[in-house]
Amino acid sequence: MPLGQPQKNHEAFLEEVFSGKPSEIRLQQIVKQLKKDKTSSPCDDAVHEVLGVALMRLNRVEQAIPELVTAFRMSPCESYANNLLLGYREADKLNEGLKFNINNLDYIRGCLATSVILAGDYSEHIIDLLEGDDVSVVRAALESGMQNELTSIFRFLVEITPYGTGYSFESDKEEGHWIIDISISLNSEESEAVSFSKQISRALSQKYSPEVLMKIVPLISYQVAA
Amino acid sequence: MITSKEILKLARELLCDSEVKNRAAIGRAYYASYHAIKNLAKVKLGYHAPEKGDRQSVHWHLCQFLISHSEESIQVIGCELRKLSRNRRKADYQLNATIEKNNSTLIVAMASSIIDDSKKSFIALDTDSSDQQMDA
Repeated sequence: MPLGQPQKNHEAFLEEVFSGKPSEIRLQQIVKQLKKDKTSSPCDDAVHEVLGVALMRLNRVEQAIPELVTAFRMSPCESYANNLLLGYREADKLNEGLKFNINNLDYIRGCLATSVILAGDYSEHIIDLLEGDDVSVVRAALESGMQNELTSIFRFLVEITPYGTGYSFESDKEEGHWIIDISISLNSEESEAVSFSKQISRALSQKYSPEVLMKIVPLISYQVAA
Repeated sequence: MITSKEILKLARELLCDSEVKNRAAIGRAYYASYHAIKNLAKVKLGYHAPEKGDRQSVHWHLCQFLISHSEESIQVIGCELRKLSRNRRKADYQLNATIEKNNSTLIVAMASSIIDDSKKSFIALDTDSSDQQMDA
């Protein structure tokens, strides 16, 4: 592809990736093409963005995150936060996911922290991008050696919570231990939230040790669905 | 003398449009469930609170005891009590955070629900163990 035209191709790829779930074969073609583009335009953040979105669509979150992080790093553009959000949900739910009002860098950083935890990639170069509360949660997980459990529990929660759910993290010390709260905001009625909270507790108590359950606590809140 | 039921009643009465009262409601809801469950655990499960000078607080100790129990229904009660405890902590210490009214009502509803659950679960467990003893 000639120099000076990466944007056109970028948009074409984005359109293809956004239009549905790409196949593995198509992904390979996209990667091949992107590598060619990269040679002609090594600083093109679109390479990372498109590849990240494609990988997310294939549920290859671990591979997608570094690509999206690179894209994010190159530009504080809002669209990159949208791409990070893709990791949470399946492709057909994308449009609803974009209802989030993404208009500030703190929010984007929050998305990134969530993506780091979801991906289980706690490497320093990614953590360096976080600030404030977001980095404190990730650091708390690392200091207490609970990073694998945090990722595992969060992935599990994302899997079992209904679409429309929002997540946030907080950490503080209690009894000398780092405690991480995962706040889960449901679109539901109060009685459903009470019942769902117990379902989550039941599911987690079957999978995790008491030590982990004392230290990683999912807190439920709700908003009545419009 | 007062009962955990009265503390829960106060929690319900505190719920209104005032955030400070809603925070207080969260605290009362937690303590209502803490006392109710601790008493049931003592009677039905042989739970003993930690000695004075123990490294762990009574709150941590009770949750850990319940979550570590072999019965799933008791573990769930432990997990739910832990959530209430964390919410109580947030309501009492994080003054900068905003606590929405609907979430305060949720915490009170959760407290009420696990108190009911604990009565059923602990009594069922007691009956099971009595049946087993009779079978033996």
